[in-house]
Amino acid sequence: MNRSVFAIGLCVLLAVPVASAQKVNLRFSTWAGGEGLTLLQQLAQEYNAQTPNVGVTVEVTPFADYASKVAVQLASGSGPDVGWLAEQSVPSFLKSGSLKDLSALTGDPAFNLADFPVSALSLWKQGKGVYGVPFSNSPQVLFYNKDLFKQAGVSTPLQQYAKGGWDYAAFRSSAKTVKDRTGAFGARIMRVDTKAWNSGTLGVLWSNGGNVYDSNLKCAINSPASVRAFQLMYDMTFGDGSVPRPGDQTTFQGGRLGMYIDNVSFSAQLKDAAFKWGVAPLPKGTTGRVTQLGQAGYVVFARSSRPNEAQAFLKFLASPAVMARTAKFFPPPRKSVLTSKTYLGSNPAIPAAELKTALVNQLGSARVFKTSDNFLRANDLFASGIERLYQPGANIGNVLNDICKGVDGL
Amino acid sequence: MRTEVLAVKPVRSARGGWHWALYLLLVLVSLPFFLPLLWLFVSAFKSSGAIFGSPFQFGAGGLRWTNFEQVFRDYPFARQYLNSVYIAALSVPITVGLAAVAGYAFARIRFPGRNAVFLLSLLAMMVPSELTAVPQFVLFSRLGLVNTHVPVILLQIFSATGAFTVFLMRQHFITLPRELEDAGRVDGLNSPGVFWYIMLPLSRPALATAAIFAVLNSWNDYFNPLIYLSRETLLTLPLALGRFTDPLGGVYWNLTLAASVLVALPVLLAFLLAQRQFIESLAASGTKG
Amino acid sequence: MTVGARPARRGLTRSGREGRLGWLMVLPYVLGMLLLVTGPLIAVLGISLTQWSLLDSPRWVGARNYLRLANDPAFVRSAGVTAVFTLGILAVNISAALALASLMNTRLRGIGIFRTLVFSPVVMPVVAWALVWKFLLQPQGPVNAGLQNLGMADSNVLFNPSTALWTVIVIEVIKAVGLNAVIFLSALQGVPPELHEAARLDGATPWQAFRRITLPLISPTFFLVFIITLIGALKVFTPIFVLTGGGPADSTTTLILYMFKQGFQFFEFGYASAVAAVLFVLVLALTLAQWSLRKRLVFYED
Repeated sequence: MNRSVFAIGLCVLLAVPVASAQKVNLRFSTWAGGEGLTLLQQLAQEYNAQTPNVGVTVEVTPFADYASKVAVQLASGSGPDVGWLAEQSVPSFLKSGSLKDLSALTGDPAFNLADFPVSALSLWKQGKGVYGVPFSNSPQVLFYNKDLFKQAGVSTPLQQYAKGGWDYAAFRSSAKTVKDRTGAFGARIMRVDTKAWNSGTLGVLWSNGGNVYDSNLKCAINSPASVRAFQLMYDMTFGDGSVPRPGDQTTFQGGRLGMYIDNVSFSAQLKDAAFKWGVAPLPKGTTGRVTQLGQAGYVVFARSSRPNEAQAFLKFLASPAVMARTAKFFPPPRKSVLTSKTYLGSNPAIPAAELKTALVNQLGSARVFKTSDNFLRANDLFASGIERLYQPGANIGNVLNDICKGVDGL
Repeated sequence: MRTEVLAVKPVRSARGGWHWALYLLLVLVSLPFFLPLLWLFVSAFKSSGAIFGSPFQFGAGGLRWTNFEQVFRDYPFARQYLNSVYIAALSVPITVGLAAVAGYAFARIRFPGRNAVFLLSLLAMMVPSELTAVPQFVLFSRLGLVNTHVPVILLQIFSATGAFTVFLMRQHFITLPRELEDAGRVDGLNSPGVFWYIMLPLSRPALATAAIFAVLNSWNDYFNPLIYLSRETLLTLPLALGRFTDPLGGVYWNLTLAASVLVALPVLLAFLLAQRQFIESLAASGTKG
Repeated sequence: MTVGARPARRGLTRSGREGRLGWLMVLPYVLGMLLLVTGPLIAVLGISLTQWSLLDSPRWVGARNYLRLANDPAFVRSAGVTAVFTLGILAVNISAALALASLMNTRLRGIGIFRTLVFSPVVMPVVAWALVWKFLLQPQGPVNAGLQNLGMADSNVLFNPSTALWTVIVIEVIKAVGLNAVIFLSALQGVPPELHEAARLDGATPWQAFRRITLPLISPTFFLVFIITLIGALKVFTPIFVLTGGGPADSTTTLILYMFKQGFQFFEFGYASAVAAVLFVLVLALTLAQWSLRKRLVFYED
């Protein structure tokens, strides 16, 4: 019996990480991957080199589970100190009081808060407080597989855009031709995980007059224009067969997808791609060329036991010098970085001209997805509705009405 | 029945035909059981592109070991493997040890409250362990033990797996003849002596069965690590298998499958080497219960 | 049983010492169990009467969570999913296990290989098994392609709300049925062959022989397998979570997944505990039913 008590004691000792006495260890939470993650780990090391008493551990949670995983950690008192937060999670984290007010830092003239456009900050402000600093102000772009387009004999989205004909009809017919001539899928609009349904979908909705929420944050995904936009995506999936159905695991980096809508940071996954690719603006719809402006920011969590060290680390990350380096994957909100000469050349995989056309020039019409503070719950209803929608023979209008009934009833 | 009375030769050929039909049936029936395994082991050696193609074409480069290299190079998989191994190595002996002692007492020693306490442990076995997750989580977070292996290990030992092991050991000790015990007492052994010198040595097969179940349960544990562990370097294998994705949710299937092979291999090998004992002890746990 | 007759002779001190020893031996396990299982089970009932996000302190709401359950279509739906899943697993697993055991019981050369193949998924790690199937069941994967060749147009069984649950059931049965099959096999091998011989001479069909002779003789095993499978089915979490995450459109969200979602994704720990309490009462009722039915259903017991 004594032996077993001893063994349990031993396991406690083994399992609890032994913290070195004087050093402060910060936990930094992110959903980055690939080269983006490598960069963050390097930044953490550099910060440790310049402030030797502070070490930073980078912790990764995949995007789809990020918000709920971090929230559970915070609730259990084992949360990270500093982290990333995506625009859609900001209202719920603000509501639960999980974020630290950073106005002491952002009020510092040296930090130069005015360098950020007002529009990029509005999401992170509440009352007089500033609860996060965006590091990514990223309009979604269209990645396309040059090899597949060549094989199919279709001019690339960028060429079609240059000629002024890049609209959703062209998008659909290009996707179908790629599908018919190469056997590969023409386009993926949503991400693989339906929980992330809004990525890609929003651009199609907004450009065609649809919406998810109206200006009062009431559900509007069942408006006639939204129904038409979903009809288009549905027809491409089940009519043309050019868009993979939910459950299909085909990814762009595998080389069997003609086009894919995502943030520029996705290029971090394409280092080893065995094909040539490019980026282009999204197609134009009936009401314009509106792309989703993905916003992500650095935050300090209110429960951090090292709030001052955490804030200092955030200051380092959000400084112009560091933001100029993260800009390679994350389009910088700081105007000084965005307009600098070096920015357009920061990602060697994407030519400066393409980046300018596909990204910088789209910033004016890009839109942030504003969500309600119960978005974790609402998103569950949206995702499960989307799963019902992408079924053979589904009645799109009815499904979208059901979603709104559920979301407005929360 | 009629054919049996007929001449010898037709009977043979009829039986032969019957045999072939039966063999064909056996092959067909076994397909869904081993094709997925075969497919897994073949695909683990393919590139991410070739995986989606025909099952037995490997694509350029033939068999690839790079998937396995990459699993260890780009992810903390070695560390996660070690986590799973050490958690099993620690929790299984304790689980089986505590359960053997408790099971013997439940089976052979009369003490006040025995039935009530045994019923509680039956309940712990029957109730899905997920049901108690909320209070357990509150308890362990108040103790500051979230993001450590302590909850995972303790819940292996005392929750459903532990309760099942106690049950298994009790059922086993009940079947041992009481005469052995009396003989031991005549030789001057007290109860702990009887347990240690007589009952335990006779229980090797039962202990092995209990250990097999405990190892499988520990190796498969998904729910508790899912709740308690979020740092990459603390993860155990079942969770780690879900981490070969790009940050936006696309799965790197070649890496996922290679890692799955590494997770399955020790258990499958152990099973193939000792399958007779494996199957018999598991079957016995059913018929003797 | 001789247990009852013995201690009286030995006197009080002896049984007192025995009692202390007994407690001492079960104590390490029982203390842990009380702290980590029994206590939390009681706590669940308490927490289910509160509203609690863990970030704040729990707020007493009385029976409100239970009233909410009754009016929550998603809860009612997941209760239905749980019923279909549990009964489906029971029916498919037990009939398949009996059929496989009968096949294994034939005296063919190489039957051991068959047994090994059928049993090997049992030891296969759960997550690895689920991931393999998730890949095989992609819309354009081998399984759906096969089904389409058989004339099921547009089949996408794991991502169609009307077929996903049964797909998960089948995958789960293929994984686990080997264990039940070998348990049945060892029971079948205990049935004396002479009985079948006699039945055949009396002109009984194989089915009649199975129903009248085999089934009664293996009834204790049958009952045990039934209970193990039933309770096991109520516990299933990992394969569903990995394969579908409860989708598509919540069609595979069982009560356990629903509880997990309410608690660990939406931070409604009070509401999640109410779901847990309902499930607890269900399991308790099944456990008690098992004890009372045991004597009536089983023909004999050692």
